[in-house]
Amino acid sequence: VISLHASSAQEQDITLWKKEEAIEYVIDHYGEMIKRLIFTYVKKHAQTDDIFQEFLITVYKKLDSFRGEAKLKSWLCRIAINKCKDYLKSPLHRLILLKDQLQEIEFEKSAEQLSIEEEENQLIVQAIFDLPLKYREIFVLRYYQSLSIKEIGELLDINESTIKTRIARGKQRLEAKLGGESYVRI
Amino acid sequence: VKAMSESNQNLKDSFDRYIGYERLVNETDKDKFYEKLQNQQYINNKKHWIPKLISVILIIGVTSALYMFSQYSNVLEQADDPTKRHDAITSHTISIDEIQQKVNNIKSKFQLGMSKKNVETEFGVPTTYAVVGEGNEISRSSYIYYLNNLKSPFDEVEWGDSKGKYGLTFNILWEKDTAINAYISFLTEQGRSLISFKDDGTVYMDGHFVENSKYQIEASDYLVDAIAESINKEPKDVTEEDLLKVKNLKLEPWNKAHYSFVAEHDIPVLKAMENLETLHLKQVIFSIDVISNFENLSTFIIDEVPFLSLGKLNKLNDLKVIEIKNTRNDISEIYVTGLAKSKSLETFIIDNKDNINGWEALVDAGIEVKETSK
Repeated sequence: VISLHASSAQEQDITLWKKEEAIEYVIDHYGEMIKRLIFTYVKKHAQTDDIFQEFLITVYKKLDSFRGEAKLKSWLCRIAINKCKDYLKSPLHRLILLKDQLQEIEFEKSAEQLSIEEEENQLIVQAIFDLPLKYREIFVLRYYQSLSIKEIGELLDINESTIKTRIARGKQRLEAKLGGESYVRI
Repeated sequence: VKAMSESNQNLKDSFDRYIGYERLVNETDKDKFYEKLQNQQYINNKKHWIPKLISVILIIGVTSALYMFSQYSNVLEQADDPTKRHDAITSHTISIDEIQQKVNNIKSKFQLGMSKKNVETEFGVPTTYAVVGEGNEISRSSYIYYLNNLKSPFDEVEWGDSKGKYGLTFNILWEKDTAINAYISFLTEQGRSLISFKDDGTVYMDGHFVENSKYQIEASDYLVDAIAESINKEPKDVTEEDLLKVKNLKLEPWNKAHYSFVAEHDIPVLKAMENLETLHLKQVIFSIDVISNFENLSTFIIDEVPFLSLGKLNKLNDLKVIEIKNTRNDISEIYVTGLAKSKSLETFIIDNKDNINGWEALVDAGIEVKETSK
């Protein structure tokens, strides 16, 4: 039986668990984080649901190949990110994108009262979501998932100097879009 | 210019607001996964089976093939005989009109915890049965009912690779001889629906809570049990009126192997406990917004809860003590900076300062911070 107290070391032995229990553990412990990560790539809830299912099937099938060299969380993130990128390259995604461009997108303004700081942060997040993927994924991993530059490099298979360059260029884009006042918040 | 780290938590909150505070993962994800997995296993089995069958036909010849066909026809005729185990995938058929009746029949007779023998007595021999886990301990039974009229309006409904041919499938996951998970997938006029049976006695349809027939209040078993213990009543006797009597509540899932996320249908029941003074969450996670509604809350104990942002609790005027127990340095993400604005908080007890983000702000605000591990 999987223990709630499964430590990082025990997680590395996940290949020894019953597959169904391992999947339940992955969903319960990492599912929410992974699904939110997927959303930052595809930006749609319906597609997030579909890709999350493909992610689970892949984890189920590849569980035996998890060697424990990386942290389970990193291994899961890598699978999810690869699934997202496969989807973004697919003809299906391009078709959906085209359909969206033809339709007028209506944003509902939240009735929630936000402070000035919260509103500014909301604008920053909106601007991050509008960044091209190569910048967006790094901002999400760094500032939403709180990964270090080194961890991002390992996850995306990119060297650290490239990540720093992308952060700098991404910030320039944000600055251009948001202007100085909002930009100083990041 | 502010450093990114200073506003990082606020930005994280904004990401969550943008994506949505509601949990994205729910039981439907698990149900869909098991259904998809089952479909894939069926397709894989089919792929192995077809070349073998073709080889047999080539070797034995047309006569043998005809013989096989006649056997297959016999199987079709025996479809409803529970005493005969068979693997023919088209052994059950159902009409559109009969689907809802069949669903109601399963709902009224099935419950998790039943044995294989009891299930077979009620529903006959399953269409397929397969061991899906190692050591023969986890297995799956499926009752598959194909539409007997494929010219129906539902032919166009696509579901995985079956393209609407399934009128109804009833799937049960077994651990040894006990049903531990089950769901019914079936066609309706709106498309395909999914009814899932949960181990807390609840039934969901398309991800929405339907019923818990065991109790007078519509809540999950572990919540009703906790309320009953708090007011010293039997769970079956707990009524909505009792919710106002609850002063102390300890919530703990029955299955201690997993964290439990409070289900949507439990939220109104929790909110109705307006006089709650002490809340102890053990391995249970739910929105801090709900907790910030407990205006009389004075003590909040958080035990083995991996991620929480407690800032919003600074609005609670009676909250004096917060204790955080059993944190883990590998997965705990607990943020408390916002509590520094609390006008009532006196004591903040934690097991390990290293696992808590922002406790320093509480010290600066004059709140006593105690670390129990040192």
